[in-house]
Amino acid sequence: MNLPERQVVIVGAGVAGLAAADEIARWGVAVTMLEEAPRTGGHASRYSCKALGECVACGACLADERRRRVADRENVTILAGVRISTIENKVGFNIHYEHRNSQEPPGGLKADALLLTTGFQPYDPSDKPYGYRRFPNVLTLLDAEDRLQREGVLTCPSDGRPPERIAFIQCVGSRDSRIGHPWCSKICCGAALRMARLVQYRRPETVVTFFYIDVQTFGKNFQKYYDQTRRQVRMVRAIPGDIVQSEGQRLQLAYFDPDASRATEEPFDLVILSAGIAPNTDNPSLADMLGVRLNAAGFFHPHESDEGRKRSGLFTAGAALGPMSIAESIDSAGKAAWDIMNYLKSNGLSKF
Amino acid sequence: MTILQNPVSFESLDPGRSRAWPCDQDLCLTCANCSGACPVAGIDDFDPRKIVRMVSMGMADHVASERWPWICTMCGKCEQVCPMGIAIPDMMRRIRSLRARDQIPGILQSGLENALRTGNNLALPKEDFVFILEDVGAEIAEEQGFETFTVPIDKEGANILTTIHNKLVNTHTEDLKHWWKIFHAAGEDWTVAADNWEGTSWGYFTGDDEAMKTMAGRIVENMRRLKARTLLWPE
Ligand code: SF4
Ligand code: SF4
Ligand code: SF4
Ligand code: SF4
Repeated sequence: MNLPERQVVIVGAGVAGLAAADEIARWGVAVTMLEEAPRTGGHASRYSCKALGECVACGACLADERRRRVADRENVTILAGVRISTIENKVGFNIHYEHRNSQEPPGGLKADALLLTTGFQPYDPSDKPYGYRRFPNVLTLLDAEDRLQREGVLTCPSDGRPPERIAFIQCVGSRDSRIGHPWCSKICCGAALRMARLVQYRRPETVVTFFYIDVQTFGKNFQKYYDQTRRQVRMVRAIPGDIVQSEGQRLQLAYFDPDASRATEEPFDLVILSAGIAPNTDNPSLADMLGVRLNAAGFFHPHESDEGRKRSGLFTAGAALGPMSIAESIDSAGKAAWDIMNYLKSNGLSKF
Repeated sequence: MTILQNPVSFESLDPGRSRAWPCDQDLCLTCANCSGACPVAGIDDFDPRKIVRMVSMGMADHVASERWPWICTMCGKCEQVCPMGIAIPDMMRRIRSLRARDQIPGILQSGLENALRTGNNLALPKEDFVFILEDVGAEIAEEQGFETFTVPIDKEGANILTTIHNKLVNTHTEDLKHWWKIFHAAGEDWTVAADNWEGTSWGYFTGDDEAMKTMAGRIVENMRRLKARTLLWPE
């Protein structure tokens, strides 16, 4: 089969893939991106700006900016809505793909270098005792982001009214060795607190309670932001055990109140679960096609590690490696782009 | 708990001790799922999360001297919900085992000592036990359809040997009848031992492994002696 020559193929057009494509294309190398979803941007593009008058460094605009830049790059081709059927990993890569929702015939590509930026799979908390998918007013953080983006304000799905009392439950499906997810997902404490603050900024009478183990988030000025947050958000150091739905779709949360030292129940209008970052469900089949192994958690090994180096020309970046923020994904993509350019150059594949 | 009144001295903490424990309480994330699920959390401020933390900090002796470990019912709900799978009831037993035996609250230790000495928690003499069983058996035989009922005590070669909870020959004799009537209606070949019939094993609650071994050994011995094929041990 005669495949068109492409130098770099990127699998996954989320923020890491886009950031890498932008860098590589800037150096004059042709890039093709394969994306399973109908549009680019991945999960990062589901987050909206959380500025409270001034920027709070959430990173959402960085993802948008990469998407716009890539759209303007002439040497980047984006194939969205496609699914990889096979990859031959010999000297270079032969990649075959199918269109998911159209009658277009399957296609193929040849690549000198392949970058995996397949991102993550949000954990589905249906098995947790919080009534997710049964009670309309129990959402994941990403569900809440989608509603916020679609409607401009955060409302209760049951009646479209703004919630008076919101509970955030952290670490749902993370730090949980029972389900084989012992890792911290790293982004959800910051993302949930920024969401809480934005809702209160726009509607100051909203009462927010934050159920957590410990706040795992980092970044410049975080301490200042966190100190302000503690004055406005009620912080409860306990993860609730149960939610039941009472009359009028009110949610009754059962938890151990550490201040009063007793088990208690409390009503909320909206509960937002910080569902964790899980490995992309396609990772095993991709790893299989490429002849590489995944780490114990199911994420890819970094390409610069011994485990990742086995096949030359194969690179990895972003949340395909494990939980990462938008800013970290962009850094990781920049590093991968640099490594790819060096690889092409040292193998005489690029004039750069 | 007197923690706040008597602040912990850091010199007394010994995190190295956690390695000597049978369960991985040093993996605790302090999420409080256990406390949220515990049916007795809050009674006298009882908080399983705090106990797990205290043990992992090497404060087991301190916890052992408090009332908290004895509030736990050993139901295991905490372990079910713990994201780290920490065996909290096992840990409670271990803490209880650290206490001097004459400091064990309530009737647990006296019941256990009775059981070790006489074969049952009540120290009920064999003649009294047999009398009670036969009396209950006679009451059943007065009921329609159970006219031929008798209690097969110490019967060799039966299919089922059943143990007896001491309360069933004390305050709850009526509850013996349900089982027995089912056996009778099913035509089951069953028996009760006249000695060492006790089904409870309070060493479980006091953290006394040796006592549990003795009690279990006696049931095994009854199985051998009576050549029973199946053990029914409802406790
Ligand atoms: S970093 Fe976040 S808060 Fe700041 S401007 Fe960008 S989107 Fe808004
Ligand atoms: S970032 Fe926060 S909510 Fe997310 S897993 Fe880590 S500690 Fe839990
Ligand atoms: S085993 Fe003890 S600590 Fe655990 S839930 Fe039951 S009573 Fe509470
Ligand atoms: S549920 Fe497990 S991990 Fe969480 S506080 Fe209790 S013992 Fe620790």
